[in-house]
Amino acid sequence: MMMQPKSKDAYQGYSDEMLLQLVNGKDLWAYEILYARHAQSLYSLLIRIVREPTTAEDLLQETFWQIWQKSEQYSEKGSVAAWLHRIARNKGLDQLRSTKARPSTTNDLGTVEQSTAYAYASAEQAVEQRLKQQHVVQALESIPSEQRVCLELAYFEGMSQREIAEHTSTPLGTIKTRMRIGLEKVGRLLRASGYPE
Amino acid sequence: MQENQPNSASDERRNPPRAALTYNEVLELLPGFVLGALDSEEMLAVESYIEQQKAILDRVTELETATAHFAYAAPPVAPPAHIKSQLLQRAQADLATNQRSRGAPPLAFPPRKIIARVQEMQSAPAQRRHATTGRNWVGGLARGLMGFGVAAALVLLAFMTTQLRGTVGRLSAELSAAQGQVTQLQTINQSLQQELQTQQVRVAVITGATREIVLNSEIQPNATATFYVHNDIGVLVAHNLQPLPETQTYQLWFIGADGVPLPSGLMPIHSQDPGMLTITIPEAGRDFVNVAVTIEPAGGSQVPTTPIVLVG
Repeated sequence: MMMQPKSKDAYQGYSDEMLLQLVNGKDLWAYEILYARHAQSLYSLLIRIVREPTTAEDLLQETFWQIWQKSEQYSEKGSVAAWLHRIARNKGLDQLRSTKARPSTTNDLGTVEQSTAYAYASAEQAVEQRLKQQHVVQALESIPSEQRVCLELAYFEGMSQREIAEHTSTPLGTIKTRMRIGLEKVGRLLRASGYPE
Repeated sequence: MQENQPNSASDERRNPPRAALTYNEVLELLPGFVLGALDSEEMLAVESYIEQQKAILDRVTELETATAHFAYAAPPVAPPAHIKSQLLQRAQADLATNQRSRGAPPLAFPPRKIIARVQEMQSAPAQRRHATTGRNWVGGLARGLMGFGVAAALVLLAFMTTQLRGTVGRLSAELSAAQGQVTQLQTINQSLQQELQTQQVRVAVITGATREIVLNSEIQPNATATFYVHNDIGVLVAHNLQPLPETQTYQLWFIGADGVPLPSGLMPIHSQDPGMLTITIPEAGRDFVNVAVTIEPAGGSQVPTTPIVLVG
């Protein structure tokens, strides 16, 4: 059982795993810091998937409410960030499937205003997030576009390999190979940039 | 592996598992598996293979890890502020409901107990006095006993008064200590508010930077820094700079097209922690070509006195 710190400031140095453990004990400060650390990347992901700010807002609320109520479901198999993003992605893709309307597959966010002015938990964290975003975008941009498209359609649009094959008029076997080679390359590049978690 | 995997039972009825996969087939399918992009039949076949061949789990984890980072490729969009406040209110309400349902007892206020006890003790001699009035033949004895009772009550009262004075003294001391703590906390709060404001400015500059300059070092090869500029505010974030003695500080310089360094902020680093400096870029330095960092005496210098440590 963790000792509860006496000031919110003390939480800033805590790892996500420690914060989640405190959230499990219904600690509001820990919950607030966890939100500050991850809300922007989760919301950005949800916007990217559902392309609709109001729906993304609802799904962000649902994601964090699930974390408040069921934080004990975290299995410590991967990082807390990966777990949070998996929950948000699944909610986004479920929403996408339920509306049966596939959004545009380009990167155009339409009327969604891109904004980076957000109160992260700390300046260090803002730098870290920005660098991470740059590294992931660079890694994806460094692979051939046909491989990148396969990965993006699967991750952000929730398409199966068969659907991607139909969507791009490409043989299924080719899609599988592109996805494998692309993901291996991105993984290598990210590990080289120091993202082992 | 995935949270949204297909419903095994119903899918199995629709698509009976196909023949066992080979290792190479599984390797080909794993990326689709971790992305949840396989058909349900393939998902089941891969799951079944993984359950039997645990050795492949490392490979699965490796791919899942790479996939997990894809979320950061989404263009950054800030969530509206009301989501946070709504969530916190909801969590607070949930917390309050849970506490009520656990039946937390109300807090007792110790002075009330003390007062009640004193009142109880003060009323005791009067009751006894009333009870001892009786016939004349026992009057003398009764008066004697009453006198003894009154004397005992007075002694008790004096004792209680002394004790109460002690309690009041202690409470006064505690009160003034608490007032001192409140003053201290107010001071801490003010300094935290200032720190928070600085942090908010830094975050706004870093996230909304219109210019980013990466600084490198030949003198300290492990040291790196980035200078973020937003409007006329700059934030320097430095990592792995060697800690300096108290008599020295790192100083930032703006170098214009003419190569003349313009002195700017000081960044004293006396530990291994990353250095961070927020400055308003002076009018004369806004068209800078380079930024540089040197080591200077604690108060800073008007011209660099040592070689450049970082430049970009």
